[in-house]
Amino acid sequence: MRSLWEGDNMGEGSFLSKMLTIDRRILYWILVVLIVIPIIRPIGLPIPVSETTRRLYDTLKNLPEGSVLVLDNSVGAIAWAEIGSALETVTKFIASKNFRVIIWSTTSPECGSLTERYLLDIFKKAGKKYGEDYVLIGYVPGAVLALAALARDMRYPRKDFYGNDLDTLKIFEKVRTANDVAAVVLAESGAEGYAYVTQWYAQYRVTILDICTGALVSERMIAYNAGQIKGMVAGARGSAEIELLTGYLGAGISSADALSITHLYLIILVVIGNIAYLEERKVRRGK
Amino acid sequence: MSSKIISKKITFLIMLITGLIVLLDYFIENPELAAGSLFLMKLAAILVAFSLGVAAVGIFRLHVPIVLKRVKGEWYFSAWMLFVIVLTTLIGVFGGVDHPAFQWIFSNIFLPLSSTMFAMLGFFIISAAYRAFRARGLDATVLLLTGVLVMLMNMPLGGAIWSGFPIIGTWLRDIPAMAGYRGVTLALTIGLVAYSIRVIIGYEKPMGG
Repeated sequence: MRSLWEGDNMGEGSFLSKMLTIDRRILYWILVVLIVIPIIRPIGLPIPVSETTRRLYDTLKNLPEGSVLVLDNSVGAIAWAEIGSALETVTKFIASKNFRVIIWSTTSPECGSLTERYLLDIFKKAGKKYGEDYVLIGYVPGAVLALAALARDMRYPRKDFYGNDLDTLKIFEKVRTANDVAAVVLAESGAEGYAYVTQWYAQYRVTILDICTGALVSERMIAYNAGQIKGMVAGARGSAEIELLTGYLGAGISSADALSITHLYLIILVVIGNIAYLEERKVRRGK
Repeated sequence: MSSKIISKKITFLIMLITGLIVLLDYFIENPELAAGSLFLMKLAAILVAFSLGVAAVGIFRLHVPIVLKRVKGEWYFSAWMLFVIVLTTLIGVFGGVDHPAFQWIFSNIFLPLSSTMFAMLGFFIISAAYRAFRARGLDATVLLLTGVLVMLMNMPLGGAIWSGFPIIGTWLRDIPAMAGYRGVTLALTIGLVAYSIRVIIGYEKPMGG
């Protein structure tokens, strides 16, 4: 049978110093349990709503009827588990209003398929008409360049995801440039936020609302504090917050407890690891 | 003049003219300039689309020899990857992205595997936090405390444990971290402007050029 301790020093040192060599698989299994249990049986830990999420919600709520929105789904399959539920919730909220929505991504080739799978049904269930109330353009290659070109001419990709000519779609009747767009709702896991700030906000003053992964928050706060990004749903925590605000409860709320518990677990591990490290250092110096 | 020098001069002229057209469009309002700039941007975006094809060719150039040479412990992974690329491409091109087989591959293979790759980060973080996140000196201790305080701010429960955690965490994020990020961003942007100008006037070879 394999030892629970990595290395062969089971008999040496105190309990804490042995903790330093604990088999990482034990740590992993504890993590799995801490994630799964709160998702199956939510504890209902408190979720205070942050200012960034509230501002995104308020901005969307106060947009005038008939506004044209760009929904940039650049999450990609890889980060869908973290912020996909937030995008679904925001889409439900948008679909409940009288907005016209254009969906694309200039960085994520998965945009079309992910939108079809998770978001288009939301519009259909809300009684929205394709081509009139919403349109899926899909992936437009070119990243920042494509965003700059789209700001000048939104019909330049020519066809939507299904091959329809954009000029024939009713939604584009009075929509041509970024000046015709009230807001961009961007869901990102990369550098898209910065591209929108430079190409859409700096030149056209389009309101930018961001749903980003937790790792991007510190970087995006620069634009948020400068007023260039008007509101932000930040990572998995933001997903739970936006669900609370909109009332469309889903995966975000159920994973909020797991988020709190796993963060706490991480902090406890850091503390134990450091106490053990300091003790071991003391023993080594004593020798 | 040799043909090499002529071709260099032509390349420089193309860079100068295209660079200036796109750049001036941001500063001067002129319909002809705007149309020219938009045309060049569309052209560049189309070229970027071709880069996806180039990437696919690169994958084949790397993995086909591995399969042909039957490299031990590798060739079957490469063969499987090439097979999946060809299969998905054929279904996507001839059946369209709406084809049930394409949708099945996307929903049942691509999506779960992508999420799994991302989720594995959690395990690495746990392991790294436990074994590497140590207060070895003053700098490391400051980093450690900052990390813990920001984690306490990020977790929904943090504010419920003590209302001071979100305040301290937000201050750390909005003042010192922001100052650092702003400095890096500004330096990067100024550097990029300088580099772009040097490329446009022919003082610098563009990346990969």
